[in-house]
Parts: sequence; structure tokens; C-alpha cells
Amino acid sequence: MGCAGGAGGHPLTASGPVHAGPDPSPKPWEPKALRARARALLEGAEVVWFPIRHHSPACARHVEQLIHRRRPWAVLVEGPPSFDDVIGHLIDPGAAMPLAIHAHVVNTLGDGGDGDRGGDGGEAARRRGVYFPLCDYSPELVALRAGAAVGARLGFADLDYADPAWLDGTDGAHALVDEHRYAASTALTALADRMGCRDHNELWDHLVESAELDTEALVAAVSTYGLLTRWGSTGAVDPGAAAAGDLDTVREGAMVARVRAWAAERAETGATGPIVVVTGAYHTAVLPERYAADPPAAARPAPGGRRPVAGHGLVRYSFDRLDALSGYAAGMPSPAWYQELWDLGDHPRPAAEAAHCILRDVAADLRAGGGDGQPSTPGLVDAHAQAELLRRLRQRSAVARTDVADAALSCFARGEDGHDVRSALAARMTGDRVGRLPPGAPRSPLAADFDRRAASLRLRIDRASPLRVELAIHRSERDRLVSRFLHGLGSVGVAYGQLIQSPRWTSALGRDLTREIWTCQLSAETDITLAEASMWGSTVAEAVGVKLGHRLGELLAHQPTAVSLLSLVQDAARCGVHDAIDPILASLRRRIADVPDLTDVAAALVEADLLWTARRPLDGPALAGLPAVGEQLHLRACALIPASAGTAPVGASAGPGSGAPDEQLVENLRRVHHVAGTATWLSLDDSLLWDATDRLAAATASPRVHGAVDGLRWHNGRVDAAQLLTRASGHLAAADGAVGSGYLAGLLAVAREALWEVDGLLGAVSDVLGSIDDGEFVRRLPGLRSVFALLTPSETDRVAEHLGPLTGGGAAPIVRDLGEQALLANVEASAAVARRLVDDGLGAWLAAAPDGGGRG
Amino acid sequence: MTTTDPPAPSSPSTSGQPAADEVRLPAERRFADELARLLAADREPRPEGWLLSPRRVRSFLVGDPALGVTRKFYGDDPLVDRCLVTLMSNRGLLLVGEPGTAKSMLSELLAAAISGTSTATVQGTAGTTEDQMLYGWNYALLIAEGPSERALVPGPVLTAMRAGSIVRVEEITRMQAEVQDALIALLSDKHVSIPQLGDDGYVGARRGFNVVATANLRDRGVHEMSSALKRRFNFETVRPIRDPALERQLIESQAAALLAEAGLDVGPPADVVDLLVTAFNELRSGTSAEGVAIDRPSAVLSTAEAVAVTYAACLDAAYLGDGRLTGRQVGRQLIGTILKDNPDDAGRLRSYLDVVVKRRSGPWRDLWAVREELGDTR
Repeated sequence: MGCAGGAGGHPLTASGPVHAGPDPSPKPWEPKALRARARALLEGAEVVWFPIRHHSPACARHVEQLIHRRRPWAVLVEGPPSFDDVIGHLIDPGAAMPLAIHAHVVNTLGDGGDGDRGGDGGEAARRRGVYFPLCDYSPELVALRAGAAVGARLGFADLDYADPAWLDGTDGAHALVDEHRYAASTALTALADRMGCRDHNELWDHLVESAELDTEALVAAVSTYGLLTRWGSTGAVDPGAAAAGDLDTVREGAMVARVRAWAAERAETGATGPIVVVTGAYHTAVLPERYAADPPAAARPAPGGRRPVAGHGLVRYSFDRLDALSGYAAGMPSPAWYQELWDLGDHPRPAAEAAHCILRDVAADLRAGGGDGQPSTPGLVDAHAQAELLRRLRQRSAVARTDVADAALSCFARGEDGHDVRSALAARMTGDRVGRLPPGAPRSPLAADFDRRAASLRLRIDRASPLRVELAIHRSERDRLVSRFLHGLGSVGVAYGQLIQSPRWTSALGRDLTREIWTCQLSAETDITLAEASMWGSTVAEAVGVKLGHRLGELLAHQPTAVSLLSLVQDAARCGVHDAIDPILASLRRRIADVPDLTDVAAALVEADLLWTARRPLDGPALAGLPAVGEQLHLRACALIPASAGTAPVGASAGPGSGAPDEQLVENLRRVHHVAGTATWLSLDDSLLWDATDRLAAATASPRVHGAVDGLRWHNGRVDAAQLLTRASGHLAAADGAVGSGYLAGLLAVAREALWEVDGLLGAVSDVLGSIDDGEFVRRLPGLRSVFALLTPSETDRVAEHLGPLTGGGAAPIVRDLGEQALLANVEASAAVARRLVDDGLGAWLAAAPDGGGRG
Repeated sequence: MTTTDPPAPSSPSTSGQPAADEVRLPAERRFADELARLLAADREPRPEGWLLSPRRVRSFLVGDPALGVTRKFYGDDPLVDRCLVTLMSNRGLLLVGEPGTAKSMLSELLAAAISGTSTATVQGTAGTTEDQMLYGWNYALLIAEGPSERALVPGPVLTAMRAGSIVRVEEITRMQAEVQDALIALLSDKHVSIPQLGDDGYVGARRGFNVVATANLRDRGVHEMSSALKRRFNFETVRPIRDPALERQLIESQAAALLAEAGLDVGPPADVVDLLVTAFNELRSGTSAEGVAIDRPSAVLSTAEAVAVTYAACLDAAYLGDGRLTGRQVGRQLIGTILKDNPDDAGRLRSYLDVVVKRRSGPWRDLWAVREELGDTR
């Protein structure tokens, strides 16, 4: 019965028994019984139950035929009844699929009891977004279209998406359909294995899409698929008793209730046509029994009469999102393949023709890519033959998706793995189709607000090509508003503007740039992401504010650093959410006294300084709380600096460039002193910082820290040049070379100008270098190199100018293209030659040779 | 992917062949009874020149419990379908993939089930010549009688063309490019001319003839294939088994079969097999079960290697130890498997032992103990 295993044929068209369930004895398993069940589902006079798999062209075709044949009074498809108002737009001839109904829910029901969580960590948990994607071959859409054609009433039947049961039973953004059940079904997996299919999707193709069944056989197959999933996941054998998860039970109860309500109406009107109920096979497995058995239940009142805040709208969707492999697991894979099958509905051999199109396009794609062994025309012919032979080997009536993929892989791949073939195939099978909304379709409130604000800011949103937007944020109020709007959209994940270049407020580099440059493009992704962002609010401003509050909540829940809070302030300022700034600064002030890390405090101080400098385009008044924060940061730094002595290791282990803690400590010192010395907007007590610095110097033995402290003192006039020179010479003369280079590194990190402004400092360095032998020089070179690497090219020139006379070489030419490795190699080679000469008794030559000059 | 390789039946049903004490019988003799059962049950149309219908060949490879046919190829059934369909077409089949993924076994099984013989084989080496593939001459007869059918010594390819059967070309990329290219004309025209025989020198391949080649595209010392030759083959990549449960089952059954063949009545304990499968998977993937990143050794760590390690460790325990298999024996064999031509691999194994194995308990303690035997690798 398998694709390529066991006896051939289709289990529901041939006479073989199906042994797939846990218990083979009961009659419901037999094909005869399954067909009888299918007949009963289809032939009901009052209600026709049509089981489907979402996005199955075969189901779509047969439900269409059935509706035209039975001419029902009404068609009900699976979906929340609130969606009834978009049916008109869905079946509008101006609509092009794929489209999706997007709904968002904000659960306000629990607000009374846990006010603490409002706006904080609980925010995401209270907000949900769901999708209901539809394409041309979705049975739900086809049923609605066919129903409209025969004049039937149209509606959705399911639990409303705003129902608390949904909110409890699901999490995050997800789709309203239930594909995952099929993938997780052990029964389907076992059956696929038995039938030689690699997964349940191939099994589905084998049993349904490629099987060329009549409607009754199709319904029997699909309903069996649903039953197997049900049995597989619950272990129950009797379909009537199949227990489901709570949410499923509630949803099915809602479906039955809606069918019952419409049936009552139908009875009142005396209509003769049935109600066709189109639901996922998983639900149809139990719906008829529940419909027959359940007593009519009273409508469940919403708890406390309150309803969650909810909304829904129609959005453009795309095939790559629809693809189960990349999207929300909301449908069958490879939408472009099934679209071909659907479009070729009138073709005598649709699957063969679709296979032809796909193989042709994949071959063309590979040829366009160039490279070794592109598919030739005979190769294409071979691929067709291959697909056909695979179909026969796997005993299908028509070529299936996997046969085409296997054929392309066999015949086009010319190397290991065939990555290029796989990706070309995946791209073609997925497709790039994007839907189009019908004229007059309502946009979601957020999307409508987006349109309004974009229009008022004169941002064009009517064309698909990218638009370059340059914003003079320092000069133009309008440009500032546009910038805030675009930053805000980015912060809630809406795909519209992409920031190409901007002044970076919190980095000295780039602060002088005066303009922001954006590329703005309206795409299907914009619609989709706008729909997704709907759960944060119904206007852009609200959504941005709520999302920012949510981010603050998340930060506060996990011991935030001062820097992270300040960057949130920056984001708030950039997005124009000025109200949010004060609360963030307030929580930062509460935390500063406990910040344990000097690095964090120093970085935050620098950030605060830069933010203040850039306050004009960021809207200054909102940052009024910043000086208080800056002063507190300064105090905290003064408290932390002396305590940092213990983190600086002593002596040789802390070589320059080692990334050792004392390097970070020196950088922190530099930052704090820099801000303290330049930030006129802060009223700071200088003596506190110097006291802290002196205590640090007294407590540490790190030469680097000493170098830095001395540099800071000299720079601020607290010691004079002579004192600095004395201390520097002392360190440089130390026997351990690392002490000298460490001291220099610290000094240069805070006050590079000392090199040429302090007379004699370079001379001292040069003297030390001259006094050591080549071996010692080679050992010290890496450390020295990283010390002097801090200098800019012009500073290097300056040093060289001062150094030339000292080494007796006059204004020596500076060799710039000599790398460290080459220099080391030269020095070593020179030493080796010298050794040889001495060994050979020619040491006298060395003395006679002119000295090569200084090494600086 | 790996194939089971159970011990040979004690009395092969194929007659006319020498004794059953051969170290390894070709697949058609090892599985002679399975093939006979499949043949007896085969009611489906067969491509001309095939011994069995394609669906029965498939059953031979992936198993058919109803006929008592064992599964011999694991992990990728669609690959088997593709191979069969390729062999029905006019293109050759080229199996590529890492060493130890059972490419040769797959080609042997395909040839055995399709043609009834898997012995028409060219073993590709740097020294393989066109003569060895196609035909050579009995020089005594050639000098005595001149070129004649009697003096011709047909090679595996010519034999297979005349018989209409599958010829296997192993390690095709190890052959010199010009020798490989001798296959081009053969695969497109399906005939060979032997000019020395004049008009009688035309040999057209009978239906059922095709070529199954195997190649390792990444190994050192391989010769690039020409595009013309590549076009005449369908490439199929055979991948290592990625499912630990399946790999574990394979290692257990295959090691048990090998041990039974060696006359030993011991099987590897479950926790040691667990250790082996876990260690192989971690070293292959570069991530430990705890999510620690590991530097991957460059040595090949196929399922076949895992079987060999298990088998050798069991022999070590049985003959040199107290008969109890522990992580220590596995560790010793693991060293031999990983320390091959790349000196860095020793350091990688040591760091795996230090970083991942050291923290674990049970048989892992014994595995960690072999660290001393690694020597100084820093």
C-alpha cells in the first residue's frame, strides 16, 4: 500500500485493510467503514461536514464541487466569528492572495490583581497576535467564494480569538491553524514510515494530492488523516470519546454552538439547502458526534462582563511566510508548487505540467547562476524522465512534490550535497508571490495611523521603490519629527525605514555629522509587521511607548547596567517618547548607589555627557533630569575608584596590551577625569575625585596606574614637568622592563602630549633603549610597540622630530613600511651576524662599523 | 548511512564457488536466500536486463518483513529511490560523500540485486589503466595467432557490457583524469570498439548495463572529474547517520554480529555504547550535550568507525583485559581512530577529554583515564 513499500495502491480506493491504529480489531478502521463515515459526513440533509487540511488544493477543489452540487443555504468555515466582517473583502474580485487576517488581543482581564506587572515584565504575556493566512487554494477561501457564487450565507465558526481560553492556551504570535498536530502525530509518522514516505507531508501528497480521488474517497482519506492524528495524540480509539486538550474542547464547543445557531435559523426560514461546515480534519473527527450529542448549552458570559481589548484587519501576506518551513508552521510547505497545481486545475495532467514548470525554472535559475555543470537541455529531459520514473516506482497517480524535488536533485546536482540545486529548488517551490488588498479593505487602526502620520510628514508611501530620505535633524523641526517617527517604527519592528547613516549621540566619533540618512520602502513586509505591531497599540505613538515600557520592564527585571538604562533613555529621546525619559532616569538614580562596577559608571558618565551635548535635536527639556544623574554618577565613581586598587595586579604580569584589569582601570580613570574636567553642565566637587585618585595611587603597585595618575596630575597642573620627569625616569630605569613600559602606557593613555611637552621625557626613554642589548630590546619591543601605537601619525612625526637630534642622526627619515615582525627579524639577523663575526675572530670589525643609529 | 553486514550464511546456496571460509562473500551470495525469496515473489514488470523489479530491489535494500528481507541501508530511503531510477535511465550513478558512509556497500547491494552479481568491479587507484577497465590481451596468444576473440582478456567493464549488468567503479576520482575519461564515450554511446578485431570489434552494451561509481570528493590525492564526465552521471550524496538512536542500534547489532563471527559471546554493555555514540556525535558536531563548543578533529568519525571501535574494544577486553568492556578500552581505540595524519587532532581529543569528559561520571571516568596514554601533545 505504500509509496514504494508493500503492496501497491491507495488504501481507500483499493480493498486492502488499514492497520495503523493501536487496535486493529474494531470495524471503524476498515476502509468500508471509513468510506461509510465519509458518505455520512457528506450526505447530511441538515449539515454537511467537510474535513480539510489547511491550504490543500485537493480539498479546495472538492469542497468547491460539493458546494456547487449541493447548493447549500449557508457555508461555515473554521475561524473566529469576529472575522465575518472581512469575508466581503476576502471574496472581492480585487483581492489577490495571499492575504491574512491578523488579530491582536490585549488581555486586560487580569489587571485588577497584578498592577505591579502592568507595563513591566507581564506586558508581553498580556499581548497576543494571531494570523489566519489564506491563499487561492485554501479550502476555506474557496468554500467562501463558491458559497457566494451559489448565494449561500457565509460565516466563520470557532472560538472567538479574544476569548480568554485562547489567551490561556497559547503563547506569543502564532497562527490560528493547527499544522503542528500533524507533524507531532505518532500515528501519522508510523504510517508514513510504513508507506515509504519521508514525513507526513509526503504521506499527505501520496494519499490525497497526487491520488486523483473522487469526493467521497477524498473525504474518507482526509477524515482518516484527522482521526489518526486524534488517535495518535490521545491514544483514544473511539472517535466520539477522543479526549482533546482543554482548548480544543472549548473551541469545538464553540464551533458546534455556531453550527447549531445557524441550523436553528435555517429551520426558521424553512430553507432546504444544507449548511456546509468546512473545518480542519482534526476537528471534524469529533464535530458530528458532538453536534448530535451535546445538549444546547447556554452562552458562556465573559468573566466580569469585561472583554479583552482586541482588533483585527486584513494584511498582505507572502508565500515565503506561508511556507511551513519558514513561517508560522501554518500551512503545507512549498506554496508555489501547490499554487501551480491549483492554477492548472483545468489541465488534463496538472501535476506533470506543474513539474515541467518547476524543473524548467530551476534549470534556468541554475544556468543563470553559472558555474560548473549547469543543466543542459538533455539534462532537463532526463529530469522529467526521472520524476516520471519516481512516480511509477512510488506508485502514485500523479507526480508529487517530492518526486520533482528528487528528480531535480538527481539530475542537476554536480557535486557533493547539491547546495545550489537545493536552494534554487527551495526558492522556486516557495515562490515570491505577495498578496494585494482589495480596494476599500479596512486597515488595522495601527496601519491607518501609520498612513496618516506618514502622509502628514510628507513621506511617500504609495510606491514600492526605495526612497532616500535625508534629515537635517539639527535645523528642521519637521525633519526631527520624521526621524522620531522612523526610529519609533523601527523600535516596534515595523519594516519601513532603514537607517543608513546618523550622528551617533553616544559616541564622540560621528557626533559632528549633522544629518540622518534613511532608505524608506513600503513592502508587504511593512503591512505584515504593522499587523504584528498592532498588539502594542492602536497608534504608532502608543505602540512605541508601550513597547518602550515593556523594554524597561525587562531591563529592570535583570539587574540592568547604568549604560543600558542610559541607552534606553537615548532610544526614548530618538523615538520622541519624552514622557518615558523621566521614569527611566528616576529608576537609574535609584540604582546608581548600588552599581558595583566602575567600568559601567565611567561608561555611563561618558554617555550622559554625550547625550547632554546632543540634547538639542533630541529635545532638550525632556533631558532635564540628566545633570542630577551625571552628578550622582560622579559621586559613585569617586566611591569606586579607590576600591579598584585591588583589581590591578602588580608588576610584570600586567604587560601593556594584555587587556589586564589595570588597563581597563586606567581607561575608567581617564573617562571620569575627562568628563569631570570638561562637563561644565555638571556642578562637581573636584576635590572628591582627586582625593579618590590619590587614594588609589597610594593603594596600588601597578606601574600603569601610577603612570596614568601622574599623567592626570601633570595634565591638570597638580605636578609640574620636572616632577613628572623624575617619576617617569625612575620607573623607566627599573630592571624589569615591564615596569617602564607599563608606566609609559598609563601615562600616554591619559596624556600623550607629555611626550613632546615634557622636556627630557623622550630623552629618558631613548637612554633606556640605548642602554639595553639587542636581546633585551627584542623582548621589550612588543610592549613598547603597543605603548606607542596609541599615537596618531602626526604625533608619531612629532616624536620623531624630537627624537632625531637625541640619537645623533639629525632629522632622520622615518621608515614607515617596516612591520614589527620585519624589525624583529632584522635585529635578530644583525645580532646573529655579530655573533658569527666574534666567533670567527673578527670582532674588531664590529667596533669599526658605523653605528646604525637609534632604534626609536 | 551504514549497512548491516551480518555474518555469512554457513552454506551459500550459490554453487560452483569455492568454500564458505572466505573472509567476506559478495552480497549476492551472502543474501542469496533473500534474493531468491524476492525473485519468487516478484510479479511486477522488470526493466530489461534486471534480475528483479525496481520495487523488489528497493525491498532488498530497505527490507521487507513479510518476505523476511532485512534492512541493509539506513537513514535515507528517498536516496534509494533516486539511485534506482537513475540506474533505469541512461545516466550513470555516482555516489559521493564522506568516507565510511557505506557508499561501496550501497553500490554492491544495488549491483547484486539488479544484476545478480556485484563482482564486476574496477577498483580505482592512481595506477588503474584503461586496459584494466575495458580489455587487455593474452600476449602469448596475441603473438601466436594475432588479434582474436580468444586472445582478448575482457576487463570488468567489457564483461558487464556484454552481460547487460551493472559494473562498479570504486573511488573513481583516484584514477587519472584521462583514464576516467575513457568512461565518457562508453556512458553516452554504450558501445566499445576494439579496432584490432576489425568488423568483429564492435561491442554494444546489452540492456541492463550501467555504471555505479563511488567517489570521495574531499579526500587528498583525488583527481578532479571533467565536466563532460560529470554530465554523464547523476550525483547522489550519501550522508552520515544523524539520528543517535538509529546509530546506536546499528552499532550494537553490527558489533554483535562481528563478535559472534569472531567466536566471542560478549556484547558491549549499554552504557558503553551510549558513551560511544555520544562521544562520536559530540566530536562530529563540535558541540557537547551540555552545549560546550569543542574543536572538531579532522579525522573521519563515521558510523563504520564507531563499529570498528566497539569491535576492537570488545576484543581488547576479551583477550587482553578481564572480559569486561569499560570506557578505558573504548578510549584507547578512540585514540587510534582520531590520531591519524593530523597532529592537531591529539590536542583536540585532549581538550575534549578535559573540557567535556572530565565532568561526567560512570564509564566516562574510565574514558577520561586514557588521557595519560595520549602522551604530551601540547
